[in-house]
Amino acid sequence: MRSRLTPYLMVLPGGLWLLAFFAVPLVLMVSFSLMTGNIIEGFEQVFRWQNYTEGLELYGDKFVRSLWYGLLATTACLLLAYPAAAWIAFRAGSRKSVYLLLLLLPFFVSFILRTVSWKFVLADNGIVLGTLKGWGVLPDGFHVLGTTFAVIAGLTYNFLPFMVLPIYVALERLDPRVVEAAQDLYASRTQTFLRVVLPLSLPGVFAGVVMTFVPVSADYVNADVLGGPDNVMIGNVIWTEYFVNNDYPTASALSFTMMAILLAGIFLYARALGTEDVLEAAKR
Amino acid sequence: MTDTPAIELAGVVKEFTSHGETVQAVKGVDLSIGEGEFFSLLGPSGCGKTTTMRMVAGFDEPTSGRILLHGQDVVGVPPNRRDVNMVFQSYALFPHLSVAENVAFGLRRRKKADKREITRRVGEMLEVVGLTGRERRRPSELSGGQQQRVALARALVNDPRALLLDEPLAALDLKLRQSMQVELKRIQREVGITFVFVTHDQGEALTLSDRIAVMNDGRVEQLGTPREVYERPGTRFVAGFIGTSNLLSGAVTERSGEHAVIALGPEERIVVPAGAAAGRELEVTVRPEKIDLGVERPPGPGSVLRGTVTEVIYLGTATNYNVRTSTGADVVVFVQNANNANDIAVRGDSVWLSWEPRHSYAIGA
Repeated sequence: MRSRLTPYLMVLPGGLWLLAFFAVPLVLMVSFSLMTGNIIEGFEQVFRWQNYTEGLELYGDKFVRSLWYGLLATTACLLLAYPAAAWIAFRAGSRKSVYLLLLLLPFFVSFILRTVSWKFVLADNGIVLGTLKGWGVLPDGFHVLGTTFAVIAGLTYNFLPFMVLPIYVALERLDPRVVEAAQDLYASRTQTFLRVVLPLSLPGVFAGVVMTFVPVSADYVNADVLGGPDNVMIGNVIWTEYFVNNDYPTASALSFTMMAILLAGIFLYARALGTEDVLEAAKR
Repeated sequence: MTDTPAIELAGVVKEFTSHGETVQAVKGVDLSIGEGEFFSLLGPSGCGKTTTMRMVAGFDEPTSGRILLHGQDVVGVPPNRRDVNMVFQSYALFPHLSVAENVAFGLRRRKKADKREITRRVGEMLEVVGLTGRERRRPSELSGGQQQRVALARALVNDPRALLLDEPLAALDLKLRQSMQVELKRIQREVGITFVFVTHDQGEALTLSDRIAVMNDGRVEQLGTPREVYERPGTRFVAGFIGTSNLLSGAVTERSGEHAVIALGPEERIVVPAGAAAGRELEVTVRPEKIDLGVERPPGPGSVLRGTVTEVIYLGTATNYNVRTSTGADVVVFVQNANNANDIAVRGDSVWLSWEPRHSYAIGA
């Protein structure tokens, strides 16, 4: 009897935690998203579905921009992370953990602080641009802050480890004999990578893309600190609705819309590229 | 066999450096492996046999020395350009590919055959290894023995100049291992390709090989046919490593025709077919199955020793007797249970051991 209950007892603390701090607020927010009213006179539950349609109408471009930025930053992360993960997994030898630690080191500093220090580095007359302008390499009017590039760069930097780690884990688990077998069977370095290493690391790539794309699309700090008025993402809108306008129903409706878009996206992505099919596609 | 050996190693040395320390894994190996030969590298773990094979495959490069495949020096040539294929100990099958795709991998990379030709050859090879009908399975859906066959087919389908097998049967259980040994021998005969077989299992090497190189501590201790290395071990190490071997020693006391005699008392002696002069110390081996065990002193010109039975081990087809001789040596005697309804002797019995002069073999003499 005891042994049959044990697994449930082990799930209990975590389950209760999730129930109290995730499920309950989620339900409350669903409720909020259908209310009407304001912070002074109070909110009233009227099941106002227009909160959703109005949100989409008003901020549709911000949704699109968020997903676009997510795509750009995720792609940049993937291009930077794969070689780095492969190098650590195959070439770093006994120093693997040192390099992984170096990779995670920025995470010991607050997310906001890291982003703000980028602002300092990229400032119009800061250490990088100021110096280059002083040398005459860049024109006086050149700036990086307040551009899409700065936001994408910041997002890429801040979420890079989420891409590196799962890819590293997948590559690290790869049996080196399988790679040798490919070479033994007349595969060149490129063919070995394309036919064996890459397909076998795809589960890691899949996980990395999800783990990066979701938080990047929902981010508001990078757009706020590094971007300009043209870089407003949906995260910034929600933040403003909540904390500036105190329009809880609109903020909640926008949040759920974003969540639905991301969930649908992940579902389609998993269906299209899910493990088995990814491997099928990689075969020939 | 053609004149050019399939594989030739000349003065091959391999050093590894780890933590600033240089270790010689292979300390100067010379080998010449003939076309179509079933050749085994036999030795304990760490003797350099796997490193030697990996250098032939191209995964490791020798620190010095030459490796020739069909007379061509291949040092510096990457594995994918060497016309040898390897069967890995863990099989190293591609987990994301089906059985047929695993087998077709090498043919597809070389682009020497069109699609139809590849399909045909893969089918043929799967038939040779008895896996027809399993083409679409994933390696993870196969048993260990079947995975082994896929690994074999994947290498053989390329028709390599030589097939390198790194302890290919080590992961299989005894029954399967034995049937795979027979299978390997059959396949080798069928395809006629040179097999280089790395193993630490002396029984496997004796069963399968045309010739065996016994390796120890980075060197080849002895090179010869299974019968040679078993019956006439060249060194103490070989005598001890291959089969059970009884090691006796003593100084030659007299010569009797072609034989050297080590007299160990009025009634006990070891007779060795060796040209050693009187006074010389000899180390003599005699295999357990060559010794006769009896309760009375046998007549005849051969070796005779007296001893006490310390252990009797019944093995079904045979019985092992452990005997402590009067000189203090421990000797194992292997008696077939063909006619003996009962044990010849029991623990504590005084017995006589005897064997013909030709079964004594003086190491290094």
